[in-house]
Amino acid sequence: SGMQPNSASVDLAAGVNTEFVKRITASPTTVQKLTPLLPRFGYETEKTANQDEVVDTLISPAFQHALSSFCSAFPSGQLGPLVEQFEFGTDAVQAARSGNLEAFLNAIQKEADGKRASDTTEEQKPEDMNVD
Amino acid sequence: MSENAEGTWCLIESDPGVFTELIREFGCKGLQVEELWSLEEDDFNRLKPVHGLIFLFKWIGPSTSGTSEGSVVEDSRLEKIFFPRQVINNACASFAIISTLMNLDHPDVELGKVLSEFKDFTKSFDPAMKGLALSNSETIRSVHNSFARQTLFEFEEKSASKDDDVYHFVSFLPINGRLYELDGLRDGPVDHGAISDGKDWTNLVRTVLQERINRYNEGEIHFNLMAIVSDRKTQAERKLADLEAIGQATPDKVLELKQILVEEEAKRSRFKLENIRRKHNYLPLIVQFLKELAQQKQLLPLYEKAKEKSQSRVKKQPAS
Repeated sequence: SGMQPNSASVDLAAGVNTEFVKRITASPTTVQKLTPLLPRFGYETEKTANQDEVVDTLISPAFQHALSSFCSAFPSGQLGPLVEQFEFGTDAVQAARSGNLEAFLNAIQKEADGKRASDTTEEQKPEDMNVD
Repeated sequence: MSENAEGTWCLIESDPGVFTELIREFGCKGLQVEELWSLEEDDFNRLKPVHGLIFLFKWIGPSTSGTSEGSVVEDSRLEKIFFPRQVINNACASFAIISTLMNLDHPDVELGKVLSEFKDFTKSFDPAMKGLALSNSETIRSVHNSFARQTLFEFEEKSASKDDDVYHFVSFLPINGRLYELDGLRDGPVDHGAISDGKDWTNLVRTVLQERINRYNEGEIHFNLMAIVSDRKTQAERKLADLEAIGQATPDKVLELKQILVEEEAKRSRFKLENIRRKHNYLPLIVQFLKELAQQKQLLPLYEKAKEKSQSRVKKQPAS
């Protein structure tokens, strides 16, 4: 098609293989956070955290397809409003609106770094108390 | 979230799990769908009884169909054959399946309330009106659409379908001793001739399909063949009961049938699982996954790797 080769074709799913997913889900915290977002079956009221189940989902064709779609739809900027529902900072939202995947991922990384720094230094402080 | 606007039909995947569940959710009982990987006689025999075939192929335009093979039915048979013209895009999977189901006459098959009522209601309609009624049926449309992949990225799918290949589904089935092809883009059912006495109809359809595939071969056509067959689990259960009733349930036979039962049960739960995965909204999971990758400092390395891959892919491709 007539799209510019560089902007449109970065597909994160290309690197999300079994080995990669197993490495990421070796962290129990990660498994715990991803578990509630997995597809749920009729008989399940609540999911119990289970690394195998997270791995199975992340390497399933359905998830891989969704991730590829996410990446290929990103440059259009149309994911902006959808991404805004997920408590991102202004940089990330701005990047999503303008359709810049690289800037979006950089912003997520920055937020994660900031959060980790504040987690360790301000652990004792109750959150959101510095209102004026 | 993008919702399906009234009247739109989503693309669905050509997959035996999707088709099997689609048929069940239309309320039709006694059937399942199996994918065929070849036109070998053995592959068809293994699935007997085969009630109909759904053939998916790249649609090159009306000029390619209709050359030499078959003739469009225009006589009174039209009153007996359920044939809807396909008046909307993306619905051809459901159109092909429903056209087949509506024309089945077999003790294993129970059409169900939704489809029987629809068949009754549209009995006197011509093909175009039948197609219109079908595309306006809210029940049928909502079942069809529930099998679409999450429509979150709908615009992406749309732009793809514009450039990319257009696929089309048609069905083949025997009606009153003759082989018919139901293609919603034709004016009527296509008659492929009489089925020889005592022969299974699949012998004839294999020849017709082989000729068609040969015709496409040069241009690397993609095609895919699904068989609508009797529910294999019910069939095995029935055979088992019959053998026991006449005292001929030998250990060998019992083992063979029990094996089929186990396989079919496993297949059903796999279909269910795949369909739940297919219908899930993955956006929250994607977002959290990206955040987790960032926590583990794996996000930007993953992006860099993906970028490298896409650039090497671009380099390899000749400029178009």
